Amino acid sequence: MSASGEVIYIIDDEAGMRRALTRLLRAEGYVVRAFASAREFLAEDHHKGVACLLLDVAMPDLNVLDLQRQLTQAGILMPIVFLTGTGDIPMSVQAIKSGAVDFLTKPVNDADLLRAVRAALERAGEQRSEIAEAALLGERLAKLTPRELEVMRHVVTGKLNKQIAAELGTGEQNIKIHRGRVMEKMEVESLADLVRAAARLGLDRKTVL
Amino acid sequence: MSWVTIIWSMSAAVSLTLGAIHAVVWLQDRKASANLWFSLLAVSVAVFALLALSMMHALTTTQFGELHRWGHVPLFVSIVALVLFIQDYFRTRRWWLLWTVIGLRVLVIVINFTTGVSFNFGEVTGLTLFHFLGESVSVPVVVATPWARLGESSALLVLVFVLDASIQLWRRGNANERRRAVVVGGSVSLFVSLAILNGLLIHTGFVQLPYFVSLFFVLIVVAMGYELSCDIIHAGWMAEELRENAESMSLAAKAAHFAHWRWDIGKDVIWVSAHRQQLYGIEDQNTIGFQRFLEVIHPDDRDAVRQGVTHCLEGDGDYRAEYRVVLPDGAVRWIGARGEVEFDGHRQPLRMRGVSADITERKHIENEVAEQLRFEILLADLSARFVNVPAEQLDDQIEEAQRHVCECLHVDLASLFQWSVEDPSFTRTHFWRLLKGPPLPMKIDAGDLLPWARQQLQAGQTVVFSSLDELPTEAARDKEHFRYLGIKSGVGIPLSAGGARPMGGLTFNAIREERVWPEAIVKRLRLVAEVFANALARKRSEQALRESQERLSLATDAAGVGLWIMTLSTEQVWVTPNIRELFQFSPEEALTNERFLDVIHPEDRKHVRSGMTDSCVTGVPLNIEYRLALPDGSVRWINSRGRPQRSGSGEPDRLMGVSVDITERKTAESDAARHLSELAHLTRVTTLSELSGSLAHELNQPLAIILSNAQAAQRLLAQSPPDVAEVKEILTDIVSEDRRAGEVIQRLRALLKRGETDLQPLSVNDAIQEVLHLTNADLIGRGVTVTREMAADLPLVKGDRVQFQQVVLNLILNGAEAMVANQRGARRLQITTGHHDDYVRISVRDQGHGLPADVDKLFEPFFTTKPQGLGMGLAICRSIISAHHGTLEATMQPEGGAMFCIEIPQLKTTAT
Repeated sequence: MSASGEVIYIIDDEAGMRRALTRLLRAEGYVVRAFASAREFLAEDHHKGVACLLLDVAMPDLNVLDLQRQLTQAGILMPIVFLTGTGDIPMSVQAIKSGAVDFLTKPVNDADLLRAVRAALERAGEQRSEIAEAALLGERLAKLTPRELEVMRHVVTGKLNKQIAAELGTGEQNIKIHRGRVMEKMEVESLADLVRAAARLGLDRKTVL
Repeated sequence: MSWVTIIWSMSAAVSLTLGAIHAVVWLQDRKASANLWFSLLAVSVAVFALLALSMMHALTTTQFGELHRWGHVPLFVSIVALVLFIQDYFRTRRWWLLWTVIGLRVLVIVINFTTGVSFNFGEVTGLTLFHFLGESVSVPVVVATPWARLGESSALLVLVFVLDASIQLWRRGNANERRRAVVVGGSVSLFVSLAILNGLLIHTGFVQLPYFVSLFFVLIVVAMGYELSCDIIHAGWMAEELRENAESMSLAAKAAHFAHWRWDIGKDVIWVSAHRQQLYGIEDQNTIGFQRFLEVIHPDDRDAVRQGVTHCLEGDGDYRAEYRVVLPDGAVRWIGARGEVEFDGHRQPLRMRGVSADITERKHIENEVAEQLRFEILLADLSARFVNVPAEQLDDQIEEAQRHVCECLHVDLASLFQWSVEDPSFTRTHFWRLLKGPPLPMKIDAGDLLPWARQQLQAGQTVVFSSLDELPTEAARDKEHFRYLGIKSGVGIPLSAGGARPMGGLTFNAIREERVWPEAIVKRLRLVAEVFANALARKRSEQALRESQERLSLATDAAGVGLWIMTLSTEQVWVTPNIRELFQFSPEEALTNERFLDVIHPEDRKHVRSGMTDSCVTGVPLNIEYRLALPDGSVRWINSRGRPQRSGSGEPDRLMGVSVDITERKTAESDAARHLSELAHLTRVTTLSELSGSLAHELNQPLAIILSNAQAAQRLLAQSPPDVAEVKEILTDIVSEDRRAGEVIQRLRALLKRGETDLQPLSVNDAIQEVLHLTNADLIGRGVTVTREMAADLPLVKGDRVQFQQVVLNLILNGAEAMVANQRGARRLQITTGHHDDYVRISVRDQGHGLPADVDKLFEPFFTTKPQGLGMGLAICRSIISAHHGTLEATMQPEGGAMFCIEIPQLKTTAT
């Protein structure tokens, strides 16, 4: 296991391909775990650290969407690099749509593969920190009272206290107090920080919509 | 008279008498030389005895000496006569001894008259009187000469000669001759010895004795005379016997009809014993001449007899002849004669003696036997000849045979009549006649003119009549017609082959004179008729065969089919004309199997030959297709079908069949095959192009693995220390992946290959596996899973691998296509192989949308459910399977989906 603790998962039904990719990535110092099918892969305990998945999409009984859903359900979030024998356009589009980091056509050059893997791991790292941040914000958000949450929704849209009070039918002073509690509970210094946190929590869109 | 005088005189008289008797014998038979010598001996002995008597009574020495000297003369004659007699009588061949004896004796005589007193005495000095038998006899006192020994030697030589002759006679003689050797030889030897002893005694003066020499000679004469007399007595007996023989012979001759005769050639007088009347028809005159004899002989034989006689007179004198004589009443008799010519000393014929016998009976029998034999030979010859007589020569041969039979049996006319159901009148188809005459009617209205004969012949009865009078009353009309034709007697035999109803009649008629038809002859004529009937029947059937062959030729011509029949034993082949034309044989050429093989394409000869052999051996009908390489350079395809025909013994003896020119069909077939293979290729390429994506994957996969492995290896090798063990594994993987890629390319290439249909033993399971390899990626891409149920013990089929795989590929892709709308997981394709009866069965089942109502439409060209489909796939598939003598069917499955089913005949005898 590398110092970075990154793991590369491979799912390919062809043993030869599995072996070749494993060798190549191990030579680069990665920890590699290979599986012959999605089912085998899902049955495993997964590394909680940074990881990515090299997935051969030309496998019998493989449904990429199913796999992603199951991964999400299992709380596994890892960027996927798609490998395909036939690089036809509809397939690559679908792959990207379903959240692929990259889409590689076999035979794949080692540089391309490593670049894609590195990108995926980076992305995984980012995702990891984002998820951590979101989790923190979530915990903070959970402390808000419904009224505070309501006030926050309005605040992040850039409304003034007076406008909010009017909309909510209360005094400006109350709004000010709620706003101060929100800032406190959300552990932000400025409005800008609050807006960013709201955006990350997805509150902004709901408001927009 | 004293005893001496009596004895010596009597002796002389006896000798003289005997000599006279035998002299007479010799005079009668000059050939009896022994008697002459004996006579001479006896006379000289008589003289010698008288001289000896005189010597005894001699009074003076001179007288005695003179007598003694002259005594040597009769002694000389006696000895010479004696040895000549012995030589003649004993037939000794020791001539030199004889001549030595005579020569010595001549010497003795010469000395006797030239020296001294006599041969023995140089001088007679005196005479002493000696008393002997009551009388005084003179005995000389002599001076012996040195020659005396010569006399004794000559006497000894006589003794030797006589003994030698006796021994010779004893050795070779019969009882009579042995007796003669003992009596004559013994007595002569004894008395000559005594004479020598007597002479020795006297001459040496040992005792005084008178000369007994003459007496001893008298005794010799007596002994010899006795023996000769015995011979005369024997001759008498023999003469008696001869006479008796002659008499009995005369009797026998009378009984046996033979005569003996003698022909005195010098006088030309022929004497013939009794029966001359009977034998030669010569009146009872005493004698006749040779010319008269010749006159009685049959004119045809006269020259032969004359020549025979001349020949025997000039030759060895042995005469044998057989000739005919014509008696005054015109009767002819056969005479057999045998005789011998007697020649004189100068080889001039003196007379001829012999016997003649009447051999008419024997000749008749001989002639009859010879005639029968000739006829038998003729019959054997006929039956042999008619077995193989070609139809076109039959008519000539029959008439030739009729001539032979007529000549052999002295028949004047032979006819062969035939009739048929359509034409019951007699048609004279063959005839022969001895004498020319008015034209014979060729057609006889037998019902009208010969009703009885016709009825008899048609009923299978033989008609025989020696004369017209023998014909029965109901044959009155026939008789009239025979008379009209001048027929005096005849035989009619029905002609019937193999017991069938008579188809005609064979008749033999006598015209010159009536004749008898012995049963033996009629029986043989029936054989002739049978031979003719069989030959005619064969000709008729050959004609019928030829007609049917012609009809067949016509039919086969019209059908464009040639007919042939091959006789297996000779390999000769009969063919219809159109075959000759087709094979470019000349119209008259004799054909053999080899000749056929000559024009067959060299590559096909073995196949044709083995096909024919198989058919003959197994009895399986022949059905072969082969090419002709014709002399004009063209090549034609022929299909020959036939079957062996078995003889009575069950062995195939002929191969018979038809041949058709199938060049056009073959051309069309090969065109069609070419079109099919081209179309198949086209659709194959199209189909494969559908697969190109997945095939690329199939190729890509190993390449990708190889690349990644190689790059991993590069990295591993750059490390320090490099992980060599890992690199080794990598290389193993690379090699195996490379091989895999190669296999894919090979399969592809095979399927893309353009080529002639090539039917080879093929494992259906293997072929399907290969297709599945190729389609693997495509099917995965389509989410189709394949289940296989391959029978493990599947027999091979005869097929073109590429085309077969094309069909399987088509069916698999079609099946996958049909399931495109299904849920993933409900896209299952099942491939099953198995076999039943003699067929291998391959089915491909899908879970797709099923089939249109009109299933057969599927297989029509340009029928397609795919937007960009060519619509040729299944049509081509069906053509391909048909070319494999198989079927391709599509059926709906009860649980939905389609099932395509291929059935191909399995390869015979070989199983996987």
